[in-house]
Amino acid sequence: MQKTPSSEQTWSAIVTPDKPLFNLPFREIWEYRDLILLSVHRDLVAIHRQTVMGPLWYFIQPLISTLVYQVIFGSIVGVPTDKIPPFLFFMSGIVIWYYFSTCFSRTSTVLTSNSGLFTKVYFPRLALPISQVLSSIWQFLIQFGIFLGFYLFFLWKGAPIEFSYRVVILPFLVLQTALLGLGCGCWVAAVTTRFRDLQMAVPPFLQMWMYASCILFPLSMASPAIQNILILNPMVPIVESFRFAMMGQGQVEIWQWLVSVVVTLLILVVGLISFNRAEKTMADTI
Amino acid sequence: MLSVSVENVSKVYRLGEINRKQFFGDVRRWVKGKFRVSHGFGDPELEAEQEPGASDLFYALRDINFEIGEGDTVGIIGANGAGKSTLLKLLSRITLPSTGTIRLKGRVGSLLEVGTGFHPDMTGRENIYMKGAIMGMRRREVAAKFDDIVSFSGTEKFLDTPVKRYSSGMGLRLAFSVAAFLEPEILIVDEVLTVGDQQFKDRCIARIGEVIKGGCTILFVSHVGEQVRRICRKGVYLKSGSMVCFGDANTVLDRYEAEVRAESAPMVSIH
Repeated sequence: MQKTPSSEQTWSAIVTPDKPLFNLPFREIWEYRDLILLSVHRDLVAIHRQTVMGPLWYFIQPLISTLVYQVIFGSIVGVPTDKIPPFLFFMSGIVIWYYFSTCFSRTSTVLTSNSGLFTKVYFPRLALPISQVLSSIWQFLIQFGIFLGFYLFFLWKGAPIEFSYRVVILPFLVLQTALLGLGCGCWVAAVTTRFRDLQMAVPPFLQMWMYASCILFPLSMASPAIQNILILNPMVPIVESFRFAMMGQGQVEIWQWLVSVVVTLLILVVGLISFNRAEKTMADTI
Repeated sequence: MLSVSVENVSKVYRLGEINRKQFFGDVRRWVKGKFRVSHGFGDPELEAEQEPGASDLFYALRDINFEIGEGDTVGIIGANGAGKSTLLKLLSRITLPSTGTIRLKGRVGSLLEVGTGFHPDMTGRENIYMKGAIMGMRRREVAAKFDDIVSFSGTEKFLDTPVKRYSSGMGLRLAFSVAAFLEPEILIVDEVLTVGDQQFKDRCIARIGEVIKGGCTILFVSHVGEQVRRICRKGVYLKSGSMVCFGDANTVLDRYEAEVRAESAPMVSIH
């Protein structure tokens, strides 16, 4: 066989058994941006096809949870809520938590539920988790909108909450939540291509995680020792900062938030590395 | 200029189920510190070393070497289980080789299992865009070819109906049409010509002819020797994972057909 001198020959793809552990195909993902946008569009539209109420369903879920928590933990148990009206206290936690858990659970099933696609066509696999995280924002925005409605109502009624410049950190908190969900989800998705066990573990684990995320009680209620442990759960500073940014009440220090940012980035890196490793042969093992 | 280069490529699969036993096997190797790749195979020799007498390794492809120039049309021939589909999977980058290197120049489009990527609740129109995007096309590229795609598939009337209401033939025709107008630099065609009725099949062959004239490199898999002779200039003959020969399509096919005849001859004499 005649070899062409390598100086003349250019390749657009070189496929070898080994891939670097951590390489993010930014350029490729950018080339496939229309795929991401179309999948987001598909997720948003297809989920409401053949429903009468459409996106209204997103209202029901946080409202019911908030009312249940308000009755059980607010009225019956009497959990302190850092002077925030209990309704807003629970709802703020629920809204940001739902965004996280949606990102996490949707990303974690992305490989197994699209296995028909992965085993037939090549595209940057990360495009699908990214589109899941993006399409979940729609749900978050709707639920945040409801929260905002109640927030304005309580503000107008003169509840001890305060609107301030602090809300500028909200986009960062949402981004951090998305990255955390993406990292956790990618890790589970990667392991799931080989062993399905983890998929079973996600719902109960998420429930447990929620109870440890200061959704139902304020961080200030825990003893200092327990607080230091809770801080390691990145959702705790996110939830507390979210409340603090919106209502100016609660207890969260800058360093606590920074800890959660570091933990989030660590989880993201681990998630992406395992996703990359699984990507190599997922078509064979899935 | 070359368009595809396949160098010492092998693909190893592990037979059997992924279950508790394999999990503990993975853990054991990990504890021993020899664990290289958790989700598959690094170096198969190394893996075999770790498990002496490992009989559960299966070479779907073994040491394949060939090069294809730009604009060539290559037929891949071989019996069932010869490794044709595995080779196409590697070339379309769905899975990675266990050893060796594959180099590709340009976008690879595949007509493997054309029905994939359709969402049943979305309309034909939405699915055309979605399918194009999955194959790496930009939205405006699809828009530019939209009319061609629709008229080729003959589904004009049903464009705004969810695909789940399509007849199965219609869905396949639509899917094939999107793929046929993708115009990649390298096109992989895997026995899709069984899609649709005779009329549509003829149109597909004609379309592939046009694509070839456009300078696209084509890799074509078919059991029908006649189709391969008609479409391809070169041929790759695979037999139980190894490459028997690579060269002029007619020569390769003659050899393949002679071998098949030779193998089936004793069977005939029994009757």
